[in-house]
Amino acid sequence: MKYVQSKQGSGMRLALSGLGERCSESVRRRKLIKKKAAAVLMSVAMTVTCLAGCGGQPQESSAESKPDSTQSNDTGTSDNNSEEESKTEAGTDGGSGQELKTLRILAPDKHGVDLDGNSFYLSDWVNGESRMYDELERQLAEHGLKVELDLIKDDQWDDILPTLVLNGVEDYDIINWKWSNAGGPEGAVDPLTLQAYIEQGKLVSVNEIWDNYCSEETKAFLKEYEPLIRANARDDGKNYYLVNLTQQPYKDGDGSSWGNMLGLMIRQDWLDQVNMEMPKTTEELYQALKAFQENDVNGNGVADEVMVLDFTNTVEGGVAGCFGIPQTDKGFLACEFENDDWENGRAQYTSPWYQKDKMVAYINYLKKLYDEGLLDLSGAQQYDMVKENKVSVWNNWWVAAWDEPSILVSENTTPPQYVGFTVDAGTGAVPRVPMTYGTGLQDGYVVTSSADKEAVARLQDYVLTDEFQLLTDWGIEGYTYNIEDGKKVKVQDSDISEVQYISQIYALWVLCFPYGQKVSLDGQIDDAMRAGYTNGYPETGFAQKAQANREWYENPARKANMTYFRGDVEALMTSEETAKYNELVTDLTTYSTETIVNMILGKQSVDEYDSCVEQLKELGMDEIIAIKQAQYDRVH
Amino acid sequence: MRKKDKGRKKYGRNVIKDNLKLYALMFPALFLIFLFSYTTLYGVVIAFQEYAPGLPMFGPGVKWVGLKWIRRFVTTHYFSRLLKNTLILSFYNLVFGFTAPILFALLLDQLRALRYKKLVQTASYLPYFVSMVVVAGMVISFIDKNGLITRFLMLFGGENQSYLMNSKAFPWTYTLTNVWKSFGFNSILYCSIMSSIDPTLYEAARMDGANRWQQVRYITLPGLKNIIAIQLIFAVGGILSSNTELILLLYTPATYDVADVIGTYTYRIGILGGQYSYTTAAGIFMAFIAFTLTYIANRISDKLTGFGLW
Repeated sequence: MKYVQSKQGSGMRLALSGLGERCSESVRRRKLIKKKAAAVLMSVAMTVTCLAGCGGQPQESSAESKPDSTQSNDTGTSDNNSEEESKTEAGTDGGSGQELKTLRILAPDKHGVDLDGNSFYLSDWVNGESRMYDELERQLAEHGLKVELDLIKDDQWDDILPTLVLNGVEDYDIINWKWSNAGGPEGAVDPLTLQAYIEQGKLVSVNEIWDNYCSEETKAFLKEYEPLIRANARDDGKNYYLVNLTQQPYKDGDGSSWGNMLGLMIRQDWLDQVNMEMPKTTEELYQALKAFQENDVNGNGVADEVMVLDFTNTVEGGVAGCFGIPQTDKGFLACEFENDDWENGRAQYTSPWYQKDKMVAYINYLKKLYDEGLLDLSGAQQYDMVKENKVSVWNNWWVAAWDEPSILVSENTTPPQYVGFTVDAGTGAVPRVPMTYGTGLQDGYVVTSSADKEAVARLQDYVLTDEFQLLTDWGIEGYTYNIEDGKKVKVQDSDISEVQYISQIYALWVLCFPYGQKVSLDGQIDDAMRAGYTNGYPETGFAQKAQANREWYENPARKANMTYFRGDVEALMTSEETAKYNELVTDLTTYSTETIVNMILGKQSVDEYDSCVEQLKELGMDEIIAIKQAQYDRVH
Repeated sequence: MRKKDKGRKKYGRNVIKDNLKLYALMFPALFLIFLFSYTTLYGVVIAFQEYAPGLPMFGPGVKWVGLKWIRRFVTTHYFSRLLKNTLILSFYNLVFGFTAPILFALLLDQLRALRYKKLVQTASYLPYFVSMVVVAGMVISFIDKNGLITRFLMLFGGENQSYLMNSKAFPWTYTLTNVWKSFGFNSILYCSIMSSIDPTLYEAARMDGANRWQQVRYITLPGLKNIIAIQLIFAVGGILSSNTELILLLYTPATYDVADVIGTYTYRIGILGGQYSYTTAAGIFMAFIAFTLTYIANRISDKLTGFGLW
């Protein structure tokens, strides 16, 4: 007899040595086999798990066109979305009999917030129930097109796009190359990559598409912009961007002025709460900021009502403009215009660092605000702070009415309303407010060598139609807008999320297509004002918000002092310029931003200003200014 | 001689056969290392080229530039600051991030209430599984003006300020966040080694009158010696690869002077600036120093403890 230890550990179990031994042996074998099988299964499972992330599309979010959405429009498109068949669909559109061509577009997945405070993305429209997107697909099909959108979340765009295009651009037909969260004329992808792909023939010139494939209407429209388009060419004389062409920002449908400025905005409801007028000087602004905290206008018991500035933009727009400092790029680069005429004057590139008096006054003012706890420089958190009802003043678009619904305010308080304003800094300088949308070229979409040129031309033709403009700016008649007394009026009292969104602004796909602003932008000020009706001001809407835009734009003295960064009318850099620019720009941006923030915080004395300028020169600031000037001079 | 070789081969085969399950379990990890660390290694050649996206890395047409990019990196305006910050932040991480899991495991081992012990252990793992972005967001709101920690510090005379903008506070913010996030998870290894120490050793020590501290000193720590040595060698090797992700989420221009490290700089010039050759050269520079440090740490460990990686 032998003693065999039980596996369960329940003591010693007696077993007979003949039959018992054979039994235990077979049990052991079975267990061994089970163990081996389990080990093999586990290792296979782990390998599969590890490799799970390797396949598929590299995009953050792929929002392909719904396979049946074009079918629902009786286009007869194939169900098969395979790469081979996607270039030219077998079906035809509803009316023209054209065969459908597919374009794959890489673009930001723009997000929006409806009036109920719900956030959503364009991909939600594409993949979910959206009459707006269905209508877009129908219209595209009518023009012989099917679009597949590869979308990357807009807040991750700047990080993902450069690495994505580094792997090649052949998977896409059109890429939104110039849009960037950070702003600035260059976009999210560095200029070196653009030059490299152009030289390798992976990005193609758009002139051939315009000249050989586009309709006569499109050619005529582009002809109006010829000087601007020519100015935007590379040194080989060709253009590589499909662009947004914005026309006539001055008049709306009734002939009255409009404008969309990017500048300081203040909480009008808080001013009302403390019985103060709109500040007209920097001193009055300081008093208002203090009053907000002393009166605890957000009612949370903490003195946390602050002005928020994004330190990456501390030298541009907002407060800096009030001190007469021009709009800048990367904190150290700016351009002035002959006779302060930003429309017709010749551009002279410079740096705000060369405007010592204004800069020192500006830094000292911000330092005073910071020392008294009235200014917050953690700009990356500014949107969260706005939602938390802590931001009294910040930089934003003056027609922006889409942030207020997301602000958390207690019940029975006046609804929030931000209104644009400028203040006199007492330095003799007329305040400057950047106005980004002017007559000119906006954004830039590159076309890859794998694109079907005829399809690109069809898209270019379509986005210049009134039909597309109407759908983008106003939506669908009877759904997002109605005609009242011969005028278009957006629907304001809908429960549908996308209708609420369109009531405030234009469609979410504006970053996907190189559209042309042929129709006047008469909707924007109306949109801004009407958004206030549903936000708690049923009688007046955001009347003050709309009024601030009009007043600023109609004042001729101020109009002359609007600043406008001419990055869109510079020729593309040459390869040599690009290499030099890339070599210098990172250190310069770091030094400039860091220095100005340190001076505001008091970590570095303003007395060191001159030595800082010397350091900037040593780091190559003048070389970059010369490169930018050369870009401009080549085409003007 | 031939017989000896045969014996060795047979022994090798037996070892593999006997441990097949372990090898099978190890395979996915080895495969991943091979896939992501070795198959992509050829890309380092762009550090010695004038590379642009889309260009071939080998063959005719490649413009070789020698050590141009490494020279540029070591002569850049910010080089000394970057190196200093990288070393200091990594040193803090090494001192506190490395020792905290060991201390925690030792303390945990002393607990006798099993349920409480498990509760504490599970709670300590949790931060490890929270996304770094979320952790950074929490930290920012805690240390901002009127934040939770800022208000707590005010009870002890601290100022109501945004510690996010404070250069002196940054190294501690960074180190404590790192330690808080990882100490629980990193202690698992030590806990498992401690549970494999023969309990009769403790029994014998207790009978000889050893107190708890003496048991830790003469039984637990010697039992952990080898694994501590290995972990230390790895940690020293990673001294230049400070936690770039966390720094990118926490730093501001106001704290560049202490927070800008080689990793964040290469992010700005590489991802944002598109200078891939330059970035790769900076990476090679870091890898070279890291390898040297690992080698030295290994030699020292070998001398002191008789245990090294090779």
